[in-house]
Amino acid sequence: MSWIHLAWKSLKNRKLATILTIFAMMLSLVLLMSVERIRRAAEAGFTQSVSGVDLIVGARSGSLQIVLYTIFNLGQATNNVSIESYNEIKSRPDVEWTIPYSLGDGHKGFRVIATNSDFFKYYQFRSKERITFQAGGPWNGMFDVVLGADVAERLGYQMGSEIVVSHGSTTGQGIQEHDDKKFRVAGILKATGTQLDRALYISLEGMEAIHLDWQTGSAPTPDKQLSINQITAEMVQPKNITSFFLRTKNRIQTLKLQRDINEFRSEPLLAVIPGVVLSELWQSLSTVEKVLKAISFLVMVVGLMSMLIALMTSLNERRREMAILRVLGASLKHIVGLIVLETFVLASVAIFAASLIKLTLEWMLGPWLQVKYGLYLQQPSFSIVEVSYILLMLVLALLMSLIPALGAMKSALKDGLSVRT
Amino acid sequence: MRLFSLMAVVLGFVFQASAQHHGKSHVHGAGKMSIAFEGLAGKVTLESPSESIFGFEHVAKKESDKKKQTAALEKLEKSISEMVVFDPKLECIFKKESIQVNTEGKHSDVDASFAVACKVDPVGSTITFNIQKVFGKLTDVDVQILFGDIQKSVEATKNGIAVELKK
Repeated sequence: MSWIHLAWKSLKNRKLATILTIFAMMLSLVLLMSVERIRRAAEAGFTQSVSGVDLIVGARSGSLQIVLYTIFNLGQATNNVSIESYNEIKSRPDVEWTIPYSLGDGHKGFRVIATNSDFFKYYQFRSKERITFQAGGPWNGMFDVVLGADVAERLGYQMGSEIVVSHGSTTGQGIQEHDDKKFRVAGILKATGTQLDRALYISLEGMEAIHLDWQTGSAPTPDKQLSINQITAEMVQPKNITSFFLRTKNRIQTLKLQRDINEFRSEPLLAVIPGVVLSELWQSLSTVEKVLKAISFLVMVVGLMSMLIALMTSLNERRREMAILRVLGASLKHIVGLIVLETFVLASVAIFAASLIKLTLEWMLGPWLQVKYGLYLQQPSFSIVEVSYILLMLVLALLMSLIPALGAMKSALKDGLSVRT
Repeated sequence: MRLFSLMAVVLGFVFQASAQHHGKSHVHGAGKMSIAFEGLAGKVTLESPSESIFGFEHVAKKESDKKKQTAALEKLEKSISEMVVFDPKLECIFKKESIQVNTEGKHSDVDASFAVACKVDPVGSTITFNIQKVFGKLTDVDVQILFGDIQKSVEATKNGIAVELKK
């Protein structure tokens, strides 16, 4: 009978204790790997909220502020960007494309973003994923609106629903409504798991149109209201935007363009590389990451301790078994080897089961986590860190098994065949 | 998504506090570096207070100051590949584009730009920063990195800080 077979039989003989030990080790490893996986997914989801964009340009303020109000729909811009400046930068030969953003209005707590058709053409998130529609398509008319997936779901809107945009940023029902110029739902975006899901998209012309008859920030009196039929294309040419996304033809040119925009003479502008700002933000989270890791390692230690306790408590019951093995010719090295081998089997089964559970959970919960929480479970399934956790678990388990192994060796020496019960 | 909004707000406060500390255009010891690559060709720029490079910011009129300044700028040119270390397998070569000392009021800055040419695409490799090994007074360099679609940042505050060029 081989030693591995003997170890397996011995573990089988103590079925309940073995299963419980494997369960404890497996749970601790699943938790440790899950924390790392979620950390990786959260980082990917956060830092890749937008991709393929070289610069975000807005009025000069803080780099963080620009990223917050353009990508995360949070906070407000300090100023606008004139359409002349936008056109001047857009027409530079090193610029490949731009996406203008005009903010300021809302709808039942969601932000209304005015942009142009380039938004649907060029906007990317994560690994170059593009915007797609679950229904309809981009707007055709001035008063068409496209909804983010969350907006449509929470407010129960469907294709063709009529929507009234509220003036100003809202956290709920608006105070002043643009109810004389209603929008019609022309498209609903597929869920992305990003902030794109939580906004409404109208054309820049639509944004201009609803403010045409407004005087010094106030709604027009009924006699001064412009009807939709009175609005011409020339009247709704945008004069300002809030910010814009920009892609250069070459990344090396991005640095020069960023510098030129930051020293722009016509008006104070700021150009930020979104990934750089998001990466800086993420690094600020390193303390939380460390705490999470520390907790996970403690759980791993608990798992290993439970293995040690199980092995130690079984030792007393196994004194006769060890003594018989000695009589059959097993050396003390063999006794130590047997315990270590048993631990190796325990740890291997626990690692295999933990990996299987982890992959199953990822497969089952991955799409839901992405849509609901923006946690993007990108490949590979096992990172170097996770593989190193597995190896660490195995090595620590084997090292810890030396404690009961040496104990067994000692008692085997002492007891001989005269085991007192 | 709300998770990320909340995260962004919390991080925002932390980052804003940090930005207020580091965000000044001229802080002795603090520099800014940008590295951009498209395929095998790249560019490295460095902005640093002159004090952190050659020890003073007044216009070098004395012979000793002129010598000190020239020596430090030559050191920057020769040692850029020690400050920004690409994987040797990539066989990257730095070439000076410009090194200028720009004086504004009582302060002056060193603005340097280098072209980099590699034989192998650096995406997937690691860049290591040993800035303090060459200029010990340049203790805090904010580095922005742009390699194709990889955008990262790192604060090079000590020797040996490394960045993996992957998403």
